[in-house]
Amino acid sequence: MRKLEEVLRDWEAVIGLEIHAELTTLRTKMFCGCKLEYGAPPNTHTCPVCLGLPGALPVPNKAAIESIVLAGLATNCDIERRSMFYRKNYMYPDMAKNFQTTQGPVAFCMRGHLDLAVDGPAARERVDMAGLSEGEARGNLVRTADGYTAHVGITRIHMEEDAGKMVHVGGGEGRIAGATHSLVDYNRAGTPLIELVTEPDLRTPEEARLFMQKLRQIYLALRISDCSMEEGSLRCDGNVSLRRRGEAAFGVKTELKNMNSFKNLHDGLAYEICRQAEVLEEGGRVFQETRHWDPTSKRTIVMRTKETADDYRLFPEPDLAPYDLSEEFIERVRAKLPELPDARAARIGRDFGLSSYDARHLLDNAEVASFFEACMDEAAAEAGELAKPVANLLINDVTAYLNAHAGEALADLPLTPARIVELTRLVAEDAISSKQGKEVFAAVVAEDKDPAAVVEERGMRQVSDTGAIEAVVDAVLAANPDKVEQYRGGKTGLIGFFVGQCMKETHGQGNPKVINELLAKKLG
Amino acid sequence: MAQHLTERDVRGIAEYARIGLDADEVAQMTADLNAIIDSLKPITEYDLAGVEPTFHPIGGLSNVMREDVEEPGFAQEVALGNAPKQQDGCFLVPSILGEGGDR
Amino acid sequence: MGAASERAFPAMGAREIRAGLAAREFSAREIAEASLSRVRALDGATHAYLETTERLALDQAERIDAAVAAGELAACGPLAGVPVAFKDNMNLAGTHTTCSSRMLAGYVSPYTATCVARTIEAGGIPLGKLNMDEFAFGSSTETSAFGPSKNPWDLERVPGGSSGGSAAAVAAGLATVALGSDTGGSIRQPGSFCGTVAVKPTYGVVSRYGVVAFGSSLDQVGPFARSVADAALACNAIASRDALDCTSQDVGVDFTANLAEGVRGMRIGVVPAFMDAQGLTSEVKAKVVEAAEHLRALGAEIVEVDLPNAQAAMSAYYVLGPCEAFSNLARFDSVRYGYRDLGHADLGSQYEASRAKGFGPEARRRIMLGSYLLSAGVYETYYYPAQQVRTLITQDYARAYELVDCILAPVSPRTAFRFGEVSDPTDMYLSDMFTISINIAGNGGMSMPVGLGSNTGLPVGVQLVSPQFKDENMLRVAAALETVYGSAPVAPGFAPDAGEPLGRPAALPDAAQAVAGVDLPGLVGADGKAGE
Repeated sequence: MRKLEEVLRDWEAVIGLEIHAELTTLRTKMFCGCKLEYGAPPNTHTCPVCLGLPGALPVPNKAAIESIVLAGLATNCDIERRSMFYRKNYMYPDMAKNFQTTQGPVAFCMRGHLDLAVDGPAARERVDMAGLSEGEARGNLVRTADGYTAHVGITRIHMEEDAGKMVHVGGGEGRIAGATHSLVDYNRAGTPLIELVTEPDLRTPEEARLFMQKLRQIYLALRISDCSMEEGSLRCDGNVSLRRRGEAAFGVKTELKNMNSFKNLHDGLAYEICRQAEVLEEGGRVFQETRHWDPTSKRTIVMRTKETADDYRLFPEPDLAPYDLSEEFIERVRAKLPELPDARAARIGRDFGLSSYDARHLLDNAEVASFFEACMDEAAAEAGELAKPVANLLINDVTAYLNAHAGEALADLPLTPARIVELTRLVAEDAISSKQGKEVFAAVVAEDKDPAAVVEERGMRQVSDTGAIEAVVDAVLAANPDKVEQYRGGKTGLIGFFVGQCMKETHGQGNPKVINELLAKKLG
Repeated sequence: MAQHLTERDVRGIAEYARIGLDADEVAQMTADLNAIIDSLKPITEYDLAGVEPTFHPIGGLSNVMREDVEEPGFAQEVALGNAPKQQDGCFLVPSILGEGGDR
Repeated sequence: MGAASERAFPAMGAREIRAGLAAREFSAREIAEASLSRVRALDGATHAYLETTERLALDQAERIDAAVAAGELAACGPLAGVPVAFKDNMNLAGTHTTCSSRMLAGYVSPYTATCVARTIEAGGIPLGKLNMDEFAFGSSTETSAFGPSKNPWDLERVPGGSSGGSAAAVAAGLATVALGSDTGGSIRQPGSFCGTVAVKPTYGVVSRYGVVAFGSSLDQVGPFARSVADAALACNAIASRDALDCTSQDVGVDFTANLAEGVRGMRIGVVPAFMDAQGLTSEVKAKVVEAAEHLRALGAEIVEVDLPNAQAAMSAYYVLGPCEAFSNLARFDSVRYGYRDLGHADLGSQYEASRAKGFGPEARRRIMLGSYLLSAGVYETYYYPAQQVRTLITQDYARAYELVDCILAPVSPRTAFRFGEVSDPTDMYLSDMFTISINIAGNGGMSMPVGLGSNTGLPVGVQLVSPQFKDENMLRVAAALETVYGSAPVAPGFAPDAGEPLGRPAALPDAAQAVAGVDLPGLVGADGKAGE
């Protein structure tokens, strides 16, 4: 198979996402008062409604409706005042009623969009960006200084309920294949679920990943879901098809399941794009089918083929009254809208003089962004000066640490705004080098000590005393007259050699800035 | 009587409704359903242009909701009280391989 | 046992029972014991009951007796000491709820329907659960998996259905009040066949929570009784909004308030198209005409009204009912409860075998029909237009009620038929030709007994139909008719003084003991403290 980069030169991928989010921050289920709790013993949070007992009737959770309206407002959707619940009929053992209560043609939220900022190497996957100058638009994208922004349409967000959980027994690794029987737990059945469906506006796996990430940040900011991909409270399916560059007609799409992390979403889509390209390039046909991404073998596998469209016998749910949301209801929800990640990034950038790139990436993790703001409070008068180094430390070191230690949260680390400010101040004041700064950061995290204490303990104080350093510089120059000659003859690259020698003589504690200045003076 | 459904159609419907029918039952069901569907003809002959459907015969009732407040549910043994088969606190079903559904 | 124990309490009315309790002529315990004895002694002939609920009856009696002893009978609710029974599609925690289907044989309810809880909270003494057509699909109880109920007026004949057990129990004096449910006529038609007052209130008046659904937008719960006053008391007990049923609404009416007002000044509509309908027997028609004359004589104005779209109600009903039933009955899948055909290696074949064997032929037919009618392409041909027709029928009634306060119509085109007499499904569906449009529009409707048909000598009921949420109108008219016809008698063969008694003993099972850990809402323990 060819590489994604190459494939995307000849083919345009057309990607749409269906993103399910459980409203885990609510207390109770969608249609009954059973407690929402992940990981409880099986079938301990059930009642006649969510067990689908004969005679039970649903009553919708008002807080869930407020949550979906909030989600719609935050994603630029039109809020439909009039909508209904429908029954989607199909039999499956984890669905107690054997129909899923969901919405019909009109959902609570319709016609929204999100704008994605894409930069860095990922931006280059979008080959149709080539040739555009900054500010110029083509299709759904606008060229920016460091990449582009893509306008991604949201078809709808509808309200529905989650199914129970099944464990397959008797086969290998809990798989359906080979299982002799299955165990059903209805604790999750009836969990409020909102499903967002995008327009087929995404063109690269990276855009899909960024969309998912951005939506997650928004939902987290709204506090409507814990958005845990590991626990399945945020789930994503993708639809992918290819068409030759320049063609308008869509190709046959496949549906991709089990992309339960950002990496799997990206890699699954990338694989599927390359697979389809290979099939088409060999003169084959892509079949409309559902495929399962297997991260272990790094392949997508056919789950089932869809020769005909599924017929779910959808009809309006007679047990639930229709909705006619008042303007007042919607405005009351709107008043609960918090500052959203885009607005927050813009404000942080503006307030602290950060680049839009830095501000955006601070917002990749809302916790990190909040921490940044706390650091700025701590820095007080020095905030303007320390903003950039603190942002860098958070975007690079802290994020790298968190990425490498899945499951740990920033709040669990022995990092405080005071410590971060102290550390960046040490570097900014040349008390330690930036390389030493990284060492101190690691020590602070590992040993739960203040940065100054680490510096003291390890004798790391950077030597910035010009007199002491001058003696070293002189000695180094005296010991290497041939190199001094070559340098003066034009081999200015040798400056690195002299700096290195000086650092060696100062046991790494000489301030490189001072060394550089003195060398320049004495060699110049 | 009009032939709205063939036996083949009826087998397809039975499969969707998950009701196993033998050949005789399919034949009888086909006859019964065709007779009933025949009697539904008046519905198809109405001029209904511009008539709104009434999905809920409840007047202007709308927005009926409950607060997000926890209510006591079943203990596990009560939830499983009518289970034909159970294991480890769960309902037990045979292998589901081949079951459809959009998931 | 004292003399009081031989009294046929379920053959008495609520007022008589309350007076006797107040005067300490008998105790609630005597009512409970004697009522259960009577059911066991006679129901072998009628097969109205599927099981008795002795423990619940005795617990309830104890509470009432304690209240009487404390001088607090008034606090016991309008049905204090009244023997009641419930159609077997109503959940009552700790009892079997079978819907007369093999699918649910052995199913024990872990919770209680709101209408049942309210009846018990109102002081009713629960005697047991009543036979019905399987999942309420039928007009005769012949589709019951446990055998049909018999009409107490003529044991060779059906009691009507689907709430046939409820009608038979009340008609035979085996319950003073019974609850039934009505989707297309399932309260009113058996009420007419068995000669009891039978009320289907406006859709939304009584909570459907805990009543096993057939057609969710059509189903409504209501009482059977032998007097209008008892029926109105029962309506008071069970009506009003329930937070567990989104389609239930507040009523705020005392249904007994205007029963004595008479009909002077009321405008009562008759529908000429109904009176000329093909299949309407002359004896039933004559009774409707006679009732109209009596009402005129009592001071009502009789006005002809037109329901031009009512003739489409039947086909709309046989679209909407099966579609909703198909979906409502999908939950019977052998996974969480219900009949499971054993020995299947895969779930698919277990599903198909369990549902094929668990459901009877009529249930299978309706499920299949609904599945077809909702399928892609067909939905637009039948389901959607049926909902539009529902709008037209609702508008018809609304226009008619601009002219009248209540409509008088036949209930069933004929009196009770013999077992096996109507075998074709589409012929059976005609039993509901005058009742169905009321479910489609959601109005209140009731059957009021007006004596015996001149040809068959069997009970005939006339139908009274109220505007939505004006159910007190039809009860008021019914009370006026009752002054002419008298309250409904216990069927002669079951009257306490029957010359030729028809009843014979029944080997009735009693309800299972309560499920461990399940509280009985609205019920009381031996300590006299109210449950949850």
